[in-house]
Amino acid sequence: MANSNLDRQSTNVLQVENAKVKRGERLLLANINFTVKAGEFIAIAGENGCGKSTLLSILCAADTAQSALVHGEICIQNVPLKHYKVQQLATIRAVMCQHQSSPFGFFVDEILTLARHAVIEPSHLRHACIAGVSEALDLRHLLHRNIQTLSGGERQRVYLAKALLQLIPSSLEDDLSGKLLLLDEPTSALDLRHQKLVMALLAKLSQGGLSIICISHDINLITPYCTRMLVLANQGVIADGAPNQVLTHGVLKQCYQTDLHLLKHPEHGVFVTH
Amino acid sequence: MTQACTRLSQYVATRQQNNRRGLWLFSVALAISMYLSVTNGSIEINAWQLIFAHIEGLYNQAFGVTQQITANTELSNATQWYVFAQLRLPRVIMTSLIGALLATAGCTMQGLVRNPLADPGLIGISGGAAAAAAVSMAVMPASAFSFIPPAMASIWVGIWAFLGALAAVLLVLKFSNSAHGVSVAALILAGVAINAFTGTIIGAVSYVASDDALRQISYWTMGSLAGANWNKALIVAITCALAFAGLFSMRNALNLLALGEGEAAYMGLDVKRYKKRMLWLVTFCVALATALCGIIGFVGLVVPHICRTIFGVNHRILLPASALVGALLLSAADTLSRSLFSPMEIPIGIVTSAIGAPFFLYLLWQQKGVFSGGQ
Repeated sequence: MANSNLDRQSTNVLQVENAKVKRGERLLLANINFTVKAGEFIAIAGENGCGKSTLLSILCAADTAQSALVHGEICIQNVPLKHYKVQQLATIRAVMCQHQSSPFGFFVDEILTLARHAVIEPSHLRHACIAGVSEALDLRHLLHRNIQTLSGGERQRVYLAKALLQLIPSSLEDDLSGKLLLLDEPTSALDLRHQKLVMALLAKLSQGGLSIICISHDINLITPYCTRMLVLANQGVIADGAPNQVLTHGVLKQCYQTDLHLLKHPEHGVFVTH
Repeated sequence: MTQACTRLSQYVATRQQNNRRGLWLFSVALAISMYLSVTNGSIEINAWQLIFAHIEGLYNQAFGVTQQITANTELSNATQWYVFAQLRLPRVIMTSLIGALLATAGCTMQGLVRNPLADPGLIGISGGAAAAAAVSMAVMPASAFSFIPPAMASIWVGIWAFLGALAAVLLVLKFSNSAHGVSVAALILAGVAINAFTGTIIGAVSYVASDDALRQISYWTMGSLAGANWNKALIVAITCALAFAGLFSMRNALNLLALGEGEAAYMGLDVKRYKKRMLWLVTFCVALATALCGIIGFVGLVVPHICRTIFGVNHRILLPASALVGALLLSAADTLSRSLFSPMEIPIGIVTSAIGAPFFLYLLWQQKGVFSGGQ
């Protein structure tokens, strides 16, 4: 176990070096540098429009719709992103976007099956895999439903399940080190029970080796679970470290440009409030 | 865990079973419709009796059995056999295949542009074909060029239509192609522009055309299956088989694209490549269908819709279902077009539009709100 932990700390799952993003004349992000190791659960915070989603989209390497220019180097598992084929990339990094909609009403189990379209496996193993993930995300009773009849929070869990199914070899208990999960506000539509469920699952998966980068506005929700926090402001990273060290009055003031109070949480570190 | 797994397997099995049942049902309906199509028309034909009589004739011929047949029935049997084997049968087969081709192309197009209202006509395929055909009929008829061999003269309009369709799609693709591949919004807008342009060409050509050519043009733009023969049926059969195999092999790619292009790329699909492949396959199918039979609207639009309400949206079942229902719908429409005002024949395009348009409105009425934007 100690050995595998050592391995984990030495593998760079993601490296971002001097990334700079421009759209037309507008500079969106500049001078972004950070490295993600296996098993890290990183929260990205920042005010609206500070470039969180832009950062995530350049990490996805599928910045097709937006005409943003990206400079600098982004490597996944020490290989530059542009050297990957999409099929290859899909097995080591999965993305859950904020807004997803299709005009076609797929059944939930069909969407989850699509996530494993590139995996060759007998159908009973595939069903076991899908059932396992949907169990973990409380989707069991929704599998036969049409996605268009689900509520926003239910859909969010379906799309998270889809992203997970894309990465896992056969079950959530597998070693996921080296793989990267990119999430854009995965809990924005969830009720309190499911917020906790999702966060606990993500934390468990990151302990199993999965690297997670998660954009969230709900700092208080994610702080107890994440291992590291990046705060974006002024087109760059203004703070990077363990959440308890990052969340200081000064950083919050610089980031959100308003006075916020920091309270001590009885169980885990700090708690931000107005 | 295992319980959830069994339940999931049950859902999937039940759905597959229902879908298979649906496909069988439509296959039987198609067979009945084809049979009716063969027997009905300006001459009533008893297909079974005719086939048995023919086999008996062959048998007698082979074994030298002489029969006492009155000359009268012999003649009538021969005529009937000719109508059956050389006119009706190739026509019914070609009609079904064209229906399958158009419906599959429509189904692919709708998945590709993620719009259940899309139609291959939308990106200018039929418009380009119609404009080129109109030009060939009114301005450059085959008879004007003495060097054209008669064999080519008979398919002269078809060649023009095919090239016109390809040219229109090339133009549309040229405008909608960017560094990131084909943009769907630009594709549709360019299609609208090309359709307007081809409409202008058809209008201008019609204005200068002779009465004869004008009649030909209007007949062609309304679609007709009257020129069917075994050669054409064979061409359509081969195209249909190849196109269907190609599209069916891309069923997962279509499903992924239906989720969204960005999504599909994240999930490991080479979006650019598949989009191009599908577009060209669809273009080829529709261009061929239009070249052979003129413009037959609404099949590509309505059939995938009907199938989606019955079979769900998974292209694994939707593609074969569309092909079947398209064949069924067009063969039924052809029977109607021949028998409603027999012996006069109504252009098939008018029948499909007359059935398709109200039905489509009905579908929209039923699903009111689904297309009004928000989820």
